[in-house]
Amino acid sequence: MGRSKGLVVAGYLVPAYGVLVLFVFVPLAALLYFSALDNMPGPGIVAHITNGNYTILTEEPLYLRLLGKSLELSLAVTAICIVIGWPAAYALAKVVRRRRNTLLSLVVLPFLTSFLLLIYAMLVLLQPSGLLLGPLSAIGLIGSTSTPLYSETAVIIMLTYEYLPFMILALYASLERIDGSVVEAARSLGASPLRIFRTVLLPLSLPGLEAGLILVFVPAAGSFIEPQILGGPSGLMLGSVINDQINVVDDWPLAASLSFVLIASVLILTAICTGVLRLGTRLATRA
Amino acid sequence: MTKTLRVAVRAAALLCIAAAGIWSLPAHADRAGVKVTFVVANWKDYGSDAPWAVKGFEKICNCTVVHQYFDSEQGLINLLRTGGVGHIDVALPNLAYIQPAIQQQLVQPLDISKIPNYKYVYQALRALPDDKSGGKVYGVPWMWGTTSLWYNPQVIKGGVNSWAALWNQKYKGKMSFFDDPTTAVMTAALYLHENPQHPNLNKVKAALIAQKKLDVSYWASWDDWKKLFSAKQIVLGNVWSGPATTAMAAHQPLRYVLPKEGAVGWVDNWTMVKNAPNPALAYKWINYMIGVQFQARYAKDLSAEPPASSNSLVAKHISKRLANLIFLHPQWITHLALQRQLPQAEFQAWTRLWEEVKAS
Amino acid sequence: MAETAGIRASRPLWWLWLALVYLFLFAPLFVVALLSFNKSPYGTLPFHWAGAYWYHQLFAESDLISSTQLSVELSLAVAAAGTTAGTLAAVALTRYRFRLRGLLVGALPLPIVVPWLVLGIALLLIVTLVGLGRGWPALFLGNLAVVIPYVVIIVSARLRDMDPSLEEASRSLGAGQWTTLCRVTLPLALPGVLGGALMAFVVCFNNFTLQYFLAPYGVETLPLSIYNLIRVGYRPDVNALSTILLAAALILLFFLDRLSAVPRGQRL
Repeated sequence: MGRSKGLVVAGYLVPAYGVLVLFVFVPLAALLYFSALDNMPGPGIVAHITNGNYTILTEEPLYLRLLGKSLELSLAVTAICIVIGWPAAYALAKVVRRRRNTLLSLVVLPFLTSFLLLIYAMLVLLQPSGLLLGPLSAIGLIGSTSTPLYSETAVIIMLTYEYLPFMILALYASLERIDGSVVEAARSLGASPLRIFRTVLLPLSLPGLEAGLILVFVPAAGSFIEPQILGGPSGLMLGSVINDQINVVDDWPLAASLSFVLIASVLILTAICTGVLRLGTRLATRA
Repeated sequence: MTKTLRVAVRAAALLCIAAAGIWSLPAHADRAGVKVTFVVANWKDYGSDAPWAVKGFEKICNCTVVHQYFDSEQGLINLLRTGGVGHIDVALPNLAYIQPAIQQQLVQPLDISKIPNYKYVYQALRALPDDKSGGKVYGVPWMWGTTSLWYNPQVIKGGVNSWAALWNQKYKGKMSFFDDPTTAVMTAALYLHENPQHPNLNKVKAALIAQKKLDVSYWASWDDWKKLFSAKQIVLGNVWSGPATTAMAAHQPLRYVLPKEGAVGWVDNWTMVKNAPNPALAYKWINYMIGVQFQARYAKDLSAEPPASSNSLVAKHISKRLANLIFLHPQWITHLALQRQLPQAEFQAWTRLWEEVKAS
Repeated sequence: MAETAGIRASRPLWWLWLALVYLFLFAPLFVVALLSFNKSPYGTLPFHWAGAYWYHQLFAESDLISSTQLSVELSLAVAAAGTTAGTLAAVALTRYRFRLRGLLVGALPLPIVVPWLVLGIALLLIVTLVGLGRGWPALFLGNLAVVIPYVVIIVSARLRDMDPSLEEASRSLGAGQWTTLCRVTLPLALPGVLGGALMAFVVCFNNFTLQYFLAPYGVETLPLSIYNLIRVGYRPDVNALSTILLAAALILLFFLDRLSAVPRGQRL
């Protein structure tokens, strides 16, 4: 590549990556360093290097248990978002012909209200004998005092609600690019809908699924406000504990180490899921 | 111009019109001017940011009062530590957090001679050692209260007078407990007749896990509690004295009692932050806050969850009925299990215990 | 292009599913709007009509309007800077080949892949160590950092879809890199750029976590105001504000829809 071209490319990249390096990589590196200290340095406090903030995971089963719970919950949310979101994205990409941009923008509309407010709206919506459950209990489907609130179910519902638009948009981006004529061809050759799905639609929506996985699974795993408000006594997740270290106990090194454990687990799990998706798609196509 | 570009231009025009619309709205926080800015760190909606309180002080100081809010006790320490020092004038830590603030050099000693109202603060509060260090006073008690037992007298006819009520199977699924490690451990300790400052943690954990099964939910903020209460999902539990006052003043079905084992108590104190930009104003503020004028007025504002005042003169300025409503019983002070400073390792143990209870 | 429906399921079923999804997405919004007209100061049922009471409270007494102004200002600034930086980076990553490209593309999702709670804490640490502390610069740059990957991903997708031959033609006709960028690439990529800008705005507007850790003293952006209000003294004027924001967005959407209505058979 010519020198002037090289300069141009560098020039294009510097603003974005400069910001990323200074405000993401460097802080994370600092956080990693602090996770290896026993105390935050401050007046009158000397900090020593220690691996105590990591070995504590083996000593106190609480943290790994919560990590497992957070990961499990986020995977569930991601799976539900895929199941609900895929048909919706497909409908938007292939079935809707007019006003597609408008419908897409409507998907994003909930984001213009603060999601905190939506958590409270969900709280009101799910109250026993409230707007939603009242009619249901009146016709005898459920008891008059039953509600999914203050349980893991409520957290799952809320997180699904928050991240569904991301999944829909990610899947839409992939599905929209699928050439309708390929599907037409398959149909005219007599392929069943299931076969078309398996061999054409699924592989072609893979990039969207992978993007959706990252946009939903990752933030869901680190959530702490939703479990706190809707999760009830059992609604504790690792994100809440990390927040507690900062805002209750004042143990920043532990917050840092737990954060990195969370990041690492999330990345590993994402890589595994992506691998599984690709493998599954290849198998589905083959059969 | 391409079609898209035309659309984009029209959209931008619309946005500009909308933006102009938004900008033309009067902005209430836009009080910057030539006046000095006085920065107060406090909980939101906790007395000092009431419009009448702010106006009252602004008249005295000829300054503009700006509030910075925190939403947890540790949050205040973080706020001061990560840049608050040098920017914030006064802060309101809980009694248990004054020693850590002193140790981390976040607050400065006060010259009591500059706070004439200090001598009116209840002796029992002034005697507490937690807001002093090296013979100097760092915190001035402002409001105090309890986190005690409440019940709905329409449902629980006989009344309750012991923490054992929270472990009574009869009210399963109709209780709510405060989501806070210190309160939880101390309350369980009181129930078990252990020393609330140094209880046997294994017994406490077992008791709290048993109690959790009877709760419909924990409440972490007073809005959480209000929602549960007003939706009639709870008839029993613990709550701060302030919300209890407001509920009772509004003739809600609530009775607030001090159980025979005692209750958890707390004291909030005004401190001057280290390197405060306006130390002279800080003294005026603290004196104003503990003055009988402010405290009596706050006590009368029953919808604002007022706790008990620290100024002993207030009792003479309000009716007996009001004093009872805000639980202004200074004789309680020495009988409460006050939230005081814990060594870091013990606090970490209490917090982990609570997290394990929540995760169980 | 003729029928693009793929699987031969009846179209109404697809529409039904979409309708249900929209119902799910809009139910809480409906609740918010409903509660803004409800008398109860606790935001719970039963429902008693309150007219425009909370709307009046919103404009007369609350600080929510100034918080909204701040949030809009911040998000516009972040969206503008983020779209610029992100679009340039997207052009570099999709249109050119160079050694570190793989690494840079891989490193891009990091701000999205790291939970914002962690990022917020890490940023707060750094700005404190550096002596900058909480404040507008920290808030702006932090939000910018998390917004850029979204822009790059969206714009890159659009750039990849575009036919590069137009740009090649422009260059073979003697136009320089910058001219090609401004006169050919950007206009063609405009839908992607606008999409990225919208995403950037929305992500920043709603980003409670970063603002919680980095906002300057005595300053509340909208998510912070709502958080404080909700924890301590929830009042339905918050609902009134959200209803107004939603209505404004819907109106804007309506006009955009009218403006961009294309004749049948032509894609935007």
